[in-house]
Amino acid sequence: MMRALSLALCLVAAPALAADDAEHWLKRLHEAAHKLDYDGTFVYQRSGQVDTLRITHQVTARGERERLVTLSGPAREIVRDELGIRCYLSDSGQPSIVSETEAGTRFPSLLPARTRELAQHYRFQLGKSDRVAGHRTRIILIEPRDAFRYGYRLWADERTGLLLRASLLNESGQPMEEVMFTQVAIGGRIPDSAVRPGTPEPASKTVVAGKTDATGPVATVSDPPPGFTLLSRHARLQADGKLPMTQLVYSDGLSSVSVFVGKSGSPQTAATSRLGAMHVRHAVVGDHQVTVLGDVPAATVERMAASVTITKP
Amino acid sequence: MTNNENLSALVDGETNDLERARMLSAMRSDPALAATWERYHLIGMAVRQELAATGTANVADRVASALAGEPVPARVWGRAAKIASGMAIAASVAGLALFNLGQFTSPTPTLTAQAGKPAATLGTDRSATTPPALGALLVHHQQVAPANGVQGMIPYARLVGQEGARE
Repeated sequence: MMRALSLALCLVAAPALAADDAEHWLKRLHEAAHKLDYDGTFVYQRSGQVDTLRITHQVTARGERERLVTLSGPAREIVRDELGIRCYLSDSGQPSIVSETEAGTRFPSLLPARTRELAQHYRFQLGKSDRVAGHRTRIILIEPRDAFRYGYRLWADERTGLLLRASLLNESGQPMEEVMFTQVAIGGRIPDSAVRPGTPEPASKTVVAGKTDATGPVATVSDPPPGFTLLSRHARLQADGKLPMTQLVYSDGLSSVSVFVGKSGSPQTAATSRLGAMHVRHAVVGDHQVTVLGDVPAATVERMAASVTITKP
Repeated sequence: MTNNENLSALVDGETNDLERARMLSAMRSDPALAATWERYHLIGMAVRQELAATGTANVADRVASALAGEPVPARVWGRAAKIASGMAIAASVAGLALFNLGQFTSPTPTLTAQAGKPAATLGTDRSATTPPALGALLVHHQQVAPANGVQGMIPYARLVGQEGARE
């Protein structure tokens, strides 16, 4: 009770961040995540389940390299570098996924111009100071203004801006997913060997081609929730490796949703499912299969799936 | 005290050394007693976990009825017993395992097998093994969705943290 009260007082007392402050913090978080070398252990919690993972991030003239290894549960790892993303899931009975980076694409980032629009859909508040993994952090609260997006509570390292703890909050402000460093070394040299895959090349793997010459259907979402605008369009191949599909990426500046549209090779049904905080909507539009996914409430993926219009099959 | 009362006391750490030694030796020769002890432990853990999360206490009934109706694979008990001696944080895993026993004992469900159920009843992602096709879509999404640093490691943690293969 006392805690709830003091939290409420703190929220009332905390000055709402001006757009400039919000922009400053988001920029700082973003830059720190992409420009700093760090190596640490974090816990990942969702649905009452906890796992420990290690992340190593290296920045060189070549670009960024990142390696994520599970320390609890099945041994799995993800390596992300200039070649693409490799997910080694071999122990799981699922084939590993190798995804090639599209030539010439950089990791996309938040466009500064869009940060101002964010204030229309989210409220920003600067919270208290807190300590995470022995570092002094500042809490940043991001509250959605409607039910089409989730909120965030972020702990940014005061010294470097690196995100040390993050909670994805549901409609009632309860954490759905949370990551938190328990130990992290920021700066210092990361050897190349620390960001190379430790898993032998798997016998069975799914290769996800970054780019295809095949053209998928031309489609658009005619009635996305407020603030979600089309960011990019990509030609992809479906899992069978033959049928083309189109990926449309919509974003409100913080939350992103991908819409995949392709001629379906097999009969499909409409359904909504959930993976942690991510909602996935499968829908059928004519003889096309539509899959909409993102870290957004079910209402958002359902509304987007319902308004997919295919202009050229 | 009946054996069950003794067990309950043992689970709650309310026995003296002599009683504890006697109960542990009795459990070695009586598998039914050992099974009951494990059940008590699981219920205790599930209730503690749920109490912390929701503040309600009717979970014990749900656990008990789930246990009554479910054939429980030995490996679940083995793991649960191991967790029982572990940290409190691990209790949540056992609690979830309990609620998902049906899924553990049936062939691994996929997202498509769950079609038609509203998302709210899907429970945890523990049971939702990602079919390779969806895995590829997740990777596509991850690769081009704006990486604004706000979610930190969550999206990647989700890719490797998928459940279904933990058993």
